[in-house]
Amino acid sequence: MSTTPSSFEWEISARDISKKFGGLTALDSVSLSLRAGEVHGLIGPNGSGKTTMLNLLCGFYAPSSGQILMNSQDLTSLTIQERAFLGLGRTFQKPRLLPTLSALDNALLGAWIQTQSGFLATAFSLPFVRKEEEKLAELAKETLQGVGLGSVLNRPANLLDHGQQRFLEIARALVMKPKFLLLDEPAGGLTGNEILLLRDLIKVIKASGIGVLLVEHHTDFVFRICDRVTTFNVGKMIKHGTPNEVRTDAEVIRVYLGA
Amino acid sequence: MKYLSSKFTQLFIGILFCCSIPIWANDQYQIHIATLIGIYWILVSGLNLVVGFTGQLSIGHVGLLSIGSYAFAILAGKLGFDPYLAMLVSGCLGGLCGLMLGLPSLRLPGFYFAMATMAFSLIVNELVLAQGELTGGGIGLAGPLFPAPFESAIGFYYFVLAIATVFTWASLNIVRSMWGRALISIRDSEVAAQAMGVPIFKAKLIVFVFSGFAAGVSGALFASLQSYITPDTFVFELSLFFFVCIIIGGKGSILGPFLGTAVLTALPEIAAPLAKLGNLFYGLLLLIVVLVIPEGIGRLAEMLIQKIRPRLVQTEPMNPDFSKLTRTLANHEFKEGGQK
Repeated sequence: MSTTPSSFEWEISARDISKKFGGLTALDSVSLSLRAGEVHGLIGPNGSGKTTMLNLLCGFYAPSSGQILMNSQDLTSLTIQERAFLGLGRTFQKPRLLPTLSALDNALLGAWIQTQSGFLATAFSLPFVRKEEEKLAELAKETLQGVGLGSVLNRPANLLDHGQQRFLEIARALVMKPKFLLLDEPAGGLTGNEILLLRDLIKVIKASGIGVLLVEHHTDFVFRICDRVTTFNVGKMIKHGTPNEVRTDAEVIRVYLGA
Repeated sequence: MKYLSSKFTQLFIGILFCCSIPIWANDQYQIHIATLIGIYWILVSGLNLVVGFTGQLSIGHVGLLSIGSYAFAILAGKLGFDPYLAMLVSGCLGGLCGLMLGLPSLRLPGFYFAMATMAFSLIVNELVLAQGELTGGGIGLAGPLFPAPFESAIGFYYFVLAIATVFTWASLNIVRSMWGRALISIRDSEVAAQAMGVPIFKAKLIVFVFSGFAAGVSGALFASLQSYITPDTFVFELSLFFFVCIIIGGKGSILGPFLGTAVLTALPEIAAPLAKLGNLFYGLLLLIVVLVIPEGIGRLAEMLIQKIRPRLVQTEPMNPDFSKLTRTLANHEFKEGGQK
């Protein structure tokens, strides 16, 4: 199931991660790795710690114990912003867009980490600022056209329908030029046709060498496009392997998939 | 791009109109009011980036205005500095005080930040009273005039207009740029801002310092216009006034808060019977705006058009262009050189 060896350049590995919220153990010594050019599915019942894991990877939570490495670099104590600079892009379970700004402006926010222009240079609209702005706008526009939002570039985000908002969030994360993309239930609320588009989109993202984490409830969808799948249940990992191995695992069927 | 150029066209027409005011104004007093609007707007244009775009509720900017005014009156009046230099120093001092206020307070959540800025403005006024030797205490200080050709009322008006134009232009540049998007992301979704790598505290601080600089410059011009300043000039109500100008104008707009400043400054003065009811008038207007047009008066026209002739939003089917996306993603830098 693996891709060519040369694309295994980047790897994130979370090792023996535990997370406690007060007396509640949300994650209990779980490990997970993401590799460039690979789609890793993370499934499990509600409350099994999937989103907690995603939040730990990109820094919204700090683990109670354990370590997160990107190649040899320790990410565990870095801020969310520092991890964004290192190449971690994400989307949210409920799209977090800037409602009054256009789709293009929303996607452009993803280009913040590439922006060199300082506040004063921007206030005086110096030529290099304008040049940079144009270059980034072009990148955002191409990305939006690529994901299928080319016809709504100037529409405010709050007037986009749900599926478009989900794709806009993915586009915004892609404008960051990430090494890894963490998708939190991207298929939630999408129509059948949109799910097919999403599947093709993830394939394109994977082919470009980005490593994808897919936290998702649509198990059909996950088994179809993932290279590896991990299953959580109440904060513990119960099975990790290829889609086929996971799909046929007795424990996974018992707690999650059903007979 | 089209939107951008139309914004600057609006600015240009606005400036032309403002240039014509001294020609058709009836008396000196109207020019005085127009100048006052310009001076208030310099402060509000900076504050607007803090309140309207970054969503940080500062109600203490009168303190920064006061610091700018006293710095100007002391430097240009008492110590005989060049007024232009004194104005620049006042601005920088305003920025510095903004930094000192922002450093401890900008990490506080909304309501507590507002309280910290309010406390700051009250402290400034007490300090001004206490440092009588420097500030003249309760008696106050004279605010010197600028040299010719800006010593006349009309000359000074054009001087203020020029500076206000620069601040308006600068804030337009900011809001239409990466910085504007970053500030709005702090206002609308802090988690999205963080995930995109926006340094929240640093960005808030930078924009707050900028607003302090604007308030300092505004204060210098204010001292010169009023010709005499006392602690009574810088009452806390003035701070609320600036804040209300932005709320009435609407968040995320520049035209709106400008109209807010102009209307709120001019109406009580022009409609004489209302002058005594100033605060009642602000309160009433604020209530109406918050209840009826929460988007602010800047969006009034837009809203009326939408009411009369609703523009239906069509659903556009998504038609991805995956070969284009593949090309775009292939240009990503990390493949060639790794991290920056």
